[in-house]
Amino acid sequence: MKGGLVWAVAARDLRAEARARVTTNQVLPFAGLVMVTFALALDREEVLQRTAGGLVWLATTFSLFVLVQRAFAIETADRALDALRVAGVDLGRVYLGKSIALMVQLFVLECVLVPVAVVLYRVRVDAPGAVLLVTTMICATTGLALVGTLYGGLTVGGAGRETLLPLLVLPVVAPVLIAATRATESALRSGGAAVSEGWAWVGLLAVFAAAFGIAGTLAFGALVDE
Amino acid sequence: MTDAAMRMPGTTVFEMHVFAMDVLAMEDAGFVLGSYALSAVAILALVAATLRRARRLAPLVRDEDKPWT
Amino acid sequence: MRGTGTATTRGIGVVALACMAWVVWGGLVATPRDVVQGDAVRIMYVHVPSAWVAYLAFVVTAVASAGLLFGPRRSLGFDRVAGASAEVGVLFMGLTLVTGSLWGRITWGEFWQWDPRLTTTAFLFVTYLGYLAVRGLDGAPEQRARRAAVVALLAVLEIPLVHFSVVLWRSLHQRASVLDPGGDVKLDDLMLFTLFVGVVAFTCLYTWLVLHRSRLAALVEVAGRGELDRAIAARRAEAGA
Repeated sequence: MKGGLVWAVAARDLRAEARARVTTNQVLPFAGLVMVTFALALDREEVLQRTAGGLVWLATTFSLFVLVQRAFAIETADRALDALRVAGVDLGRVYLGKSIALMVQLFVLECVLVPVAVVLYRVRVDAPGAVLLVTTMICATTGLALVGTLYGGLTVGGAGRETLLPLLVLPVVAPVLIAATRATESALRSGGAAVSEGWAWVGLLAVFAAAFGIAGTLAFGALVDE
Repeated sequence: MTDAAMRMPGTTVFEMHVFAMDVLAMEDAGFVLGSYALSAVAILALVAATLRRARRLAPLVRDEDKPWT
Repeated sequence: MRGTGTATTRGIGVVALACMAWVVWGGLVATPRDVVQGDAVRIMYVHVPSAWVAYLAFVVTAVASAGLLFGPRRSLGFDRVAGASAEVGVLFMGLTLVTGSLWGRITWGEFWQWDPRLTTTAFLFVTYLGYLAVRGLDGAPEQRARRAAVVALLAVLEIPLVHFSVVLWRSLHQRASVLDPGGDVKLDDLMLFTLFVGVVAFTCLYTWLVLHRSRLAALVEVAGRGELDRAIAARRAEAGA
């Protein structure tokens, strides 16, 4: 049963999260706080309304770093990754499993952040916009999770490594940030952009996710090798 | 460009002085000369650091271990 | 006792110096001012070769990384070249950004523009820094080399994606064309020649630096091992005596 390991790893990660509730108890409040802090920093309502899409994805990206550290902390805690590697398990499958779990957590986060943005930044969503928005969320989150898991394996453990994660991840997810923000702006009609333009950006997000899905599966093993 | 600058820097101090003034008198001299100076400094610094470190380490290694010799 | 220099590097060094001398003379004095830009165009003679070398360095790092991972011999020499090329590349990338910024300040009035080429260059610079940071992580030499090589190849995937996204992004705003301080410059023969000499000069410099730095890396590794051996021998002597 080929796909079994992938889902097993994803389920394990999500069960660990369900037990510890780090995402719900710590990361969600953090992300919400980031959204509020944006309002403090940016001050003007028109500015917040126009940039609402970007702010949601910024908050998501910052939360990504926290979640990735968490996803790999549970590996080092009981040396699970080492055990899997010694057992000759295909690390590419482990990578996909962890990415799926991370993607689910990020998606849950965004489902909270978007209503928060609607409330705090005074933006509106209508039916076609909502479809675009959900699709954007799925595609962008997949991309973020894939990149985060890939470089997360590299930066966990050892002194002075954790700070490397943002430095490595941010340049790589720049396309996601650009595309997701434009698509979200289209969906929220905040930038004056039409919904149809947003779908073009979703295409870019899908290509990005596919590219890194493949690349990550191949590269993950080499990056976590110790 | 003045005639003094068109000729190779001459033998007299005066000609070299006029020539230098010509270079400095160009527009935005600060930015242009600054670019050249910065490039020179950065490159020379890396060259110097590389040579210095190599000079320090080379005595510690036998010549047989240096595949380029 | 030999250092990291050989006849080859000395030859390359001489060529580099000679070409550099021409560039300084040609760039600052002999070449004419531009009709539109005036003397600002002189920055081109250091900026363009610098950019060329920075991109060359990136390509070399990528090729050396691929050689390490997929090549028949998997020699660590590839890793040393990849690292040396990245170190030199960072320097020239930084120079490119600064000289380009100064040039832009004169020609556009701004130190920075969010055009695709500049933005991608900035991303490339940060990516280099990340790669060098990964090289600095601890681990066994073969694993470190493999890790760094994978990160380099991921960067090869990432940079075009970033560039493409930025091009699309900036096409939404009014200035769709690539902003290039040198875009409107009419190059006469002397200017073109000086530019060419500049490219040769900087490429020789790059080659010289990469040769020396990769040999230096080899020295560092052997010297490090030597120290370890000496420390072990000393401990053994203590234990025996």
